[in-house]
Amino acid sequence: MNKIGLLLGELHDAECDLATEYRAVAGRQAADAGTHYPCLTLAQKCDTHATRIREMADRYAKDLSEPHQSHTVAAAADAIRHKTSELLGHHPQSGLLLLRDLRQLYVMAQAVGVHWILLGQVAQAIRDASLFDEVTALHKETLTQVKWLTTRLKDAAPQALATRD
Amino acid sequence: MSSCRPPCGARRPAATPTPTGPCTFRTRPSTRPARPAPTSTSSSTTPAAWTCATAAAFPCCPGHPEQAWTAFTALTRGRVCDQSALTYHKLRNSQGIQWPCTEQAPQGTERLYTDHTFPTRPETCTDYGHDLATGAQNEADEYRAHDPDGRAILKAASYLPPHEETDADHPLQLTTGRKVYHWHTRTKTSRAPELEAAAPDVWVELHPGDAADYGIAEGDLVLVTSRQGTTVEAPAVLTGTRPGVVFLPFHYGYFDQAVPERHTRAANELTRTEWDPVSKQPIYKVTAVRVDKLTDARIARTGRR
Repeated sequence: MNKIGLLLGELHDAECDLATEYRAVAGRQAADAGTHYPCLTLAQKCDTHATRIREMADRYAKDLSEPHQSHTVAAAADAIRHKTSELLGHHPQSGLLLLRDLRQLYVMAQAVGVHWILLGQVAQAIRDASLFDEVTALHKETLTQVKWLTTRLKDAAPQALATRD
Repeated sequence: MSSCRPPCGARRPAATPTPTGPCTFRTRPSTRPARPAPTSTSSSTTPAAWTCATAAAFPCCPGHPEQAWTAFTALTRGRVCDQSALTYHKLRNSQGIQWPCTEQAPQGTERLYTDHTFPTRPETCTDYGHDLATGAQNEADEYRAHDPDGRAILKAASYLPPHEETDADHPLQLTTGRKVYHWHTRTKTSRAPELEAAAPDVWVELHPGDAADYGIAEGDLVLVTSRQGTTVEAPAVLTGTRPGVVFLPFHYGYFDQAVPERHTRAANELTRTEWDPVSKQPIYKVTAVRVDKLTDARIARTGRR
C-alpha cells in the first residue's frame, strides 16, 4: 500500500478544496475589498501548492491529476456570487456571514496544516532531506494563511458582534 | 469671545484668484464653462472668529492653539516621536526642528540610530510586524521567540501580479500620480497663479508607439475608460516612456468646476477599491484601461472644425 502516495493525494485534495473555498468566499465578499483580494491571492497560493504536491507525488509513484474545473461554469458562478454580494454588501447580516465564511476557511486551512505536519514527519523518517525542506517551506505558507484568517476574524468580530443593528 | 490675534500669525484662507496669463495646456473647446468668480471678503472670517473656532475644537485647552500644541507635545513625552520640548518659540525662531526634541536634545535630533539600536525590542516596539502579501499580523509570543534585540528588521516580498490584468478590451495599464506643480487635489496650489497657469487642467501621457497604434497625435483629445465605467477626457501628451503604460496626474477633481456633477477629469475615479494589505494605501498604479480618440488637437484647442 502506497501510504505516502495516499497522504499526498489527501493533501492535494485538501489544497484544491481550500482554493475553491477561497474563490467562493472572494465572490460572496466582493463588496469587502479587505477580504476579497487576499482570498484571491491565497487561492492562487493553494494552486501553487497543489502543483508542487503533484511533482512530489511523481517521485513517490503516485499519479495525481489537476483538478478538473469547467471554466465557463466556474466563471458564471463567480459572476453571480459577485453581483449578489455587491447588492447585499452592506446588509446588517453581512458581518455575521463574513465571520462564518472566515471560520470555514480557518478550519479548512488547519486541516491542510495537519497533512503538512504528517508529511514533514514522514520526510524525516525516510531521510528525504529535500522533501523535508520543501514541506517545511510550504507548511509555513499554510500557517501564514491561518494567521491572515485570524487577523481578519479579529478585525471583523467587534463590528459584526458588538454593535447594534 | 474676546477678540485675539492668532499668535502664530496665521491668516484666514485666501480667496480663489481668477486665472491670469497664458495657459500651457488649453484642452477644451471655447464653450468650456467659465471658472467660478472669487468669493468676496466678508467679516464672518475675521481672525478672532477663526481662533475661537479652533478653541471650540479643544475644549480642554481654552484660549488659543498654542495651548492645544503644548497639550499634544506633552502626550509625546517618552515616546519614539518625543516632541515635549518643541515650543512655539523654538518653531518661530528656527528654520525647522527635527524631532525628537526633548530636554536632553533641546535643539532636536539630526540623525537617528547613530548607536545602531532600533526600537524593536518586544517591550518597546509598537507593532509586531505583518506578512506583506496578506497583512496577517504577527503574534506577540512568536515575536518574543525571535527577539530582534534592538536590531532593525528588513522584510522582503515576492512579486505578486496585480489583481486586475489587461485584456483586449482594456489593453493599457494606467498609473496615476503626482506632478511637480500641484499638491493632492489643488485646494491650495490652484490658488497660486503661477502653479495654476503652469498646469491648469488634466492631461494624459502616452508612449509615442502606443499613440501611433491608436492613431493619436500630440494634443488630440482622448477618452480614458476603465472597467469601473468611469472616464476621463484629456489631451494626449506623447512623453510616455514605457509602452503599454498610460499616466494621468490625479490632481484634477471638480471642486472648482462650474458643473461639479461632471466628473471627467478625476483620474483616481478610474481605479478600483483595493488597498495594500499592510499599509492600507489604495492601489493607484495598475488599472487596466482603454484609450480612444475623441477629437483632433486643432478642434480641441479652438472649438472650431
